[in-house]
Parts: sequence; C-alpha cells; structure tokens
Amino acid sequence: MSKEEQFRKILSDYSEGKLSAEEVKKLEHLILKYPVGEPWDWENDAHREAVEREIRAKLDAKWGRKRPYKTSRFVIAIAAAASLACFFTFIYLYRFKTDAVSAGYYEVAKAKEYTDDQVLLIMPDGEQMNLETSVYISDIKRKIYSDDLTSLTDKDKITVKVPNQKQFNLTLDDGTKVWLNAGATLSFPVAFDKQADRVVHLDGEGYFEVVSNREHLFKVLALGTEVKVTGTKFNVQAFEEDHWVKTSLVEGNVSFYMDDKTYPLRPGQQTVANTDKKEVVTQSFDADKLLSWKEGYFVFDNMELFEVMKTVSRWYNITVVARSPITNKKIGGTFPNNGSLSDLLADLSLLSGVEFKIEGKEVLIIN
Amino acid sequence: MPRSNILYLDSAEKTVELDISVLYRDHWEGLFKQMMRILLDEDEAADVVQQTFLDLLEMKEKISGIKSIKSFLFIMARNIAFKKLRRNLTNTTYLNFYTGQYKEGSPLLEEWIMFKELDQLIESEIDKLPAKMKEVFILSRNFDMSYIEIAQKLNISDKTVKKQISNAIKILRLKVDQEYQPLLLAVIITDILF
Repeated sequence: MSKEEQFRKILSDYSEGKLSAEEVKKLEHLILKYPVGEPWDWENDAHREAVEREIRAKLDAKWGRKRPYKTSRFVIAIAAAASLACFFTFIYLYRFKTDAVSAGYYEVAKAKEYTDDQVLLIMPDGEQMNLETSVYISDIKRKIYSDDLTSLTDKDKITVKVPNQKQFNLTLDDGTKVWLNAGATLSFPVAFDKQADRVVHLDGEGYFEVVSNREHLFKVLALGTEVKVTGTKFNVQAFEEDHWVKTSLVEGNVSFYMDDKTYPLRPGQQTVANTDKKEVVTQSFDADKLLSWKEGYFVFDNMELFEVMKTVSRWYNITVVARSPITNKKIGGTFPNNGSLSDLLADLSLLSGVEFKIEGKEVLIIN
Repeated sequence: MPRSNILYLDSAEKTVELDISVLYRDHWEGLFKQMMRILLDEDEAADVVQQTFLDLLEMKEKISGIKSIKSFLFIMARNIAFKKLRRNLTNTTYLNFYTGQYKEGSPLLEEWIMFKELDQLIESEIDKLPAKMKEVFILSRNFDMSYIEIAQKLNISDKTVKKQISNAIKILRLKVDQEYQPLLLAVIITDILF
C-alpha cells in the first residue's frame, strides 16, 4: 500500500468512526499540527467584509431575539417549544398554502394564469404579438415599425413573456444578452437612456451576459430588490409566489440590494433573499448545475421533492397539489427538459417513492 | 450587533463577564483563518465560526475553569470543524481530494506510523503488567475513569489507584525507553496517557 493509500485509509476509517477514541485524538492532533492548508488570508477588504456579513447574519438574528428573555429555564423551554411550533406551522403553511384547489388538497406549486404556447411580446399600449424563441431588439423594433406603432418612444417599456417548456434568448439594445427560462417575464425599454442606468424588470429566471459600461450601470429589478452590475455574467431567479430572489454570479462583479443594504458578490457566490421576511443569505453555488436549464436539463442535486416540484411546475406550468405533507426525502438526478411531463414524473416517482397523477393542468402527489 | 453578555468562571473560580459581541469582534477572524486551513472552504469555515458563537450563547452560564477564552473558543470551533470534516470525508471525491492535499512523505503520516508502532508496543507491555495494576491502568486509559471512580469500582482506596497508575507508567516508560529515543517518547507518552 503506498503512503497515499495508507493515509486515505486512515482518513476513511476516521470518517466512518472506525478509529479508537485515542486514534481519533491523535489524528486530529496531527491534522492541527500539520494543517492541510497554507496560512490563509483575505483577497481584499471586500472579501473579508462579505464573509463577516455572512457569519454575522444568523448571529444577529439569534442574539437579538434571545436577549430580552431573562427568565427561568422552564419558561425558556416553553418559549422554545412554542417558537418551534410556530416555525413548523409557518413551514407547513408556507409549503402548503391554504387555498387548496380541491377539498383536502394542499397546493405545492401553482401554475401561472397563462395559456399561450409562444413567446409573447407586450407593447406599452397592451398590443401583443408572438415572437420566435431568439430575437434581437432590432427585430422587435422592426416589428414595431412594421405594425405602425411609431408613436412609441425609446423610453416606452416592452414586456416579453415566456411560456412553459420554452426558453427565450434576447439581445438588448446595448448588446447585452438575456436568456429567459420558462415562465419568466422581462420588461425593458425600447432603447436604453444614454444618460442613465440601464434598467430591466424581471419576474422568473433569467441569465444575463451584460456588455460592460462603467458609466451606465446595468440594473435588474426584481420583487423590490435590485442587482447592480457593470459588465458581467450572472443568473437571477425571482419567484414572486415563493417570495425569494436568488442572484448567482458566474463572472465579474455584481452587488445585490435589498432595503438599502448592499451585498457584494464574488464569482461563485449567490445571495438568496427572502423578500417577505427581508432576509439575505450569501452562499456558494455550482454554476454548471445552476445553468443546466440553459442547456436543456433539470439538475436536481439532493433536493427535497417539494423543491423539485416547484421547478417542474415552473417548466411545465402545472399546479401541483398534495393531500398530506409530502415526503422530505431528498432526491437527485439530471433529466432532459424536452421530455414529456409523464416521463419525468415516472422517474421522480421511482426516486422518491411517491405516486403522481396527472389531471389536466394539475398533478396530484399521492404519498 | 445586539449586546449579550457571557459569564464564566476563570481557573481561579473568579467570575468574568464579557460581552459576547466583543468576543465575536475580537476572535471571529482568527478562528475563521484557522478553520480555513483545516476545511479549505470558506462556507464551511464560516459555518464553523457561526456555530461556535451560537453554541457559546447556549452554554453561557455553564462554563467554568477557563484559563483562556481564546483557547476555549478555538477548541469549540475545532470540534465543530472535525465533525464537518468527518462527514465530508465519507464522500469519496472529497476523501481523494483531501488525501491529495497532503504531499507524499508528509510528516503527518510519518508521525502517525510512529504513533501506531509505539501504541502496539505499549499494548503488548500493558499486557505484561501485574494483573491488578493492569486492570487499574486499563480502566483509566481505555475507559477514561477517574481515580475515584476506579477506586469505587474495584473497592480499593484512591491512593492505591494513583500509586498503581504511576507505577504502571514508570514500568511502561522503562520498557519503551529501550526501543525508542527518550526525548521523543516523553512527548508521545504524555500525548497518549493524558
């Protein structure tokens, strides 16, 4: 056995609890004595601040809440139990909103009231037209002019709505490329103001490759939050029904804003903002998995069925209901998103052990 | 940051009161940097630091005998980090990655092998100890029992227990000395026995 294999065996025994208490103590002592990493330092002050903010986010909440209770342990225990109960009730209500579709069923995910199966372009005056799945703003402008909508000014907002099972690729006035996932809505001006920031509004999921322009920042507004960038590649998921906005930076620099607070991101990091509870968490993410939707795949990595069904609901625009709280078993896998809903559900059923029943635009989960 | 005080008794049983946010301010960064060297991942290291202070808050009225709050925090963080590391190492990819981080001929493995050899030697020597002494010594070493606990269990005085253990160490040290360099041994034997 080579030294490396020997060492791997020790570490593997360590992880599986096969070492004696004494051996564990010795090994940990040696790991501390010869740490695997070199002395470590921050890249810069912003890096240090971002990490510190991340650590403190949870602490602030806990410490702030704990402080006023200066009472007996018993009362604290009751309070803890009560807050736990509240927490679970909240989770329960949050997951299975009360407006059940049919009696006794809870809604896990809701379809959008949207029936068009083509990408829809909506003019400021309400005029609608269908689009191909990939266009340049110049195409849109041409359509506008050919339809004799010349009364439009550059500042007027156009809206693009992407239907289920479709994606849409758009190149904006400044050359910025936007990929929109199924169910997404993006509003943007006919032409960006040459004197001001470039502003777009997003609901749903979009991936942006912004053309750099330091004088005119690019801003994505979503559910009252804001992502501010110069030039960069990033993904935004803004789901109004779930009250969260997830901003994930692939390349370059962006800052996420909510409630006058700034959260700078580094490549590989994402912010998850709960727009209801006004909480922001920064974490790392896997770009390949996150952007798999652009390549035509769903990648579920150790996700609860509940979350998986949210994604499935968005893509196929279906409402998902369950009669009882659904399993919290975590599942994973990669699935092509051009398949049929019934094929996907058959696979998910094998993985999760629950049964699905498709009824029109509704999927029932039977535990 | 909200203020929240922590009370603890130092080694002289003197009550010390510290503001937990001050502790946090002074130590989060040092802890984070140390955890980075073990875990190599910012999120994991951040988790550890966060959990350390959350745990500290939970136990704020129960801690005593602390010589240095800094080492206390470090030990807490270290325990959380090792728990994470153990869990991470159950993943083969991570296991390979972590193994690869230690270069061939790393002093860690050398020391480990020495420790194992010595351990075997000590085991075999313990086996040769007089029966009663062996029993006392094993209870102390393998079962982490205190002198008083051993005394109660074997129905002997705690002075006898202490004497037996100290004699056992003397005998073992002598035996092991013949095989290993004394200086090295002094380090390792205290490491094992205490």
